[in-house]
Amino acid sequence: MNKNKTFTWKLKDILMVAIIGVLFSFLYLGTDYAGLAISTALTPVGWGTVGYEPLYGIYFMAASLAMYIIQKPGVGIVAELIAATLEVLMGNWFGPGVILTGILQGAAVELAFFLTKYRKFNQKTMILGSVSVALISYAYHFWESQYYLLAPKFVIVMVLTRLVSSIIFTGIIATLLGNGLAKAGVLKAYPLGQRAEESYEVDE
Amino acid sequence: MERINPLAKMLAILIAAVLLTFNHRILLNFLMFAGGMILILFFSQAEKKRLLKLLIPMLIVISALFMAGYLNSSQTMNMNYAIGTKHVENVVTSGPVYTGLQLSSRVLAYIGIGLLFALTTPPEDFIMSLMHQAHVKPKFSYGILAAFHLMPEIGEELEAARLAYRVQGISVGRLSLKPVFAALVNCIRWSENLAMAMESKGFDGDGARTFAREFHVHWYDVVFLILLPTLVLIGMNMLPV
Repeated sequence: MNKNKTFTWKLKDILMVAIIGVLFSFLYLGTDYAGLAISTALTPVGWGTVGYEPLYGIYFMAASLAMYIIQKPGVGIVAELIAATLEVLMGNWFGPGVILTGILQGAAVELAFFLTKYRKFNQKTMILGSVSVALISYAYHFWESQYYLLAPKFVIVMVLTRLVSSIIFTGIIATLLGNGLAKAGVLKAYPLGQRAEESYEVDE
Repeated sequence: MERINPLAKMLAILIAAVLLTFNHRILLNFLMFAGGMILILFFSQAEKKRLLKLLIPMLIVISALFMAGYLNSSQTMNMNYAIGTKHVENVVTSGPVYTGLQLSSRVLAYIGIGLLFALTTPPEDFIMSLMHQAHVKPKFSYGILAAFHLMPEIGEELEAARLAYRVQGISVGRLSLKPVFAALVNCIRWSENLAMAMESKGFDGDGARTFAREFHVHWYDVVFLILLPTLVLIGMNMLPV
């Protein structure tokens, strides 16, 4: 099955990545506001910063969904990069740093697929990607946002919340979304849709 | 500010943002925010209303960060010392207030430069500039632009999907995922049709082509690109706190 797979990008791949990027940039901006609402509620007790963590998995979904559908090296990074760049252009409050985190998050999701040599695109790899991105992105924020200034119990709660959120959104919901789209029959031009047509006859 | 080349502006701001992650001086963070605001208010045609709309939630985030730092600081020992000596300077440069300010003022600096970029750069210009200055393939640039310009359509599609469900007597709430999924299916169908349409019109994403609008790098772009990171570096090393 992998023999006739090409790694060059066709226009339809680019448009798909771009659509995912654009859609998720809006979703990310919405998540910014939702996280803000939770943060605001938690601010008086000093746990405001944790407000974003339950939703953090949403921020990695562009990368994992793009990887799952198009299954080519680099799509995760590019999808996440487009989403992050547009999010900055539309005006968010995390500033241009989001573009850098976008690249990092895309790469962290792709790491799981890279480790399987871009051969296995299943639920297991998606969850592996979601764990990888949660830990790597937190390590980056730990340094970038100076979370090391916070008390350890605070940091542990943040990491765990982000990990769970990432597994749910990036690992499971993105996979379900991809499967749903394949079932709807709109992904016939992409590897995921073709696999659905072959009624999951994947030689693994 | 609108006249500065979008890519040069982005690079300058990205470098400044990376430098700021190494910065521990609170004053510089406040100066970056003030500088960004001054440039937006007096040296650009940015809409003041949009600025205000974006700033209000941002201020809430900053207070959230300040409180998180203030109440959950890992430096609780210093607080007693600071209160005991009743020295304002000690309160600011050590202890929970310092942690709070560190966490929140940095975000303030990002907001200053981030808004400077967001409010003075139309997304179309930035993508075109990527193609002209960074030599991103037209295939990518126009692909992203095409997807970007589909956005208003996607909103309408979502409304149509909601209506379709309601016609069938299925009640859908504001946050229901069913119409979202239906709209997503159509978006993907469009993206495929769009790719086909672009190719059938002779769009060749790799070859040489002419452009309706071209972006160039001027001397003031280079000056901005050098000046902003230099100022940050000077601030990082010269400011007292």
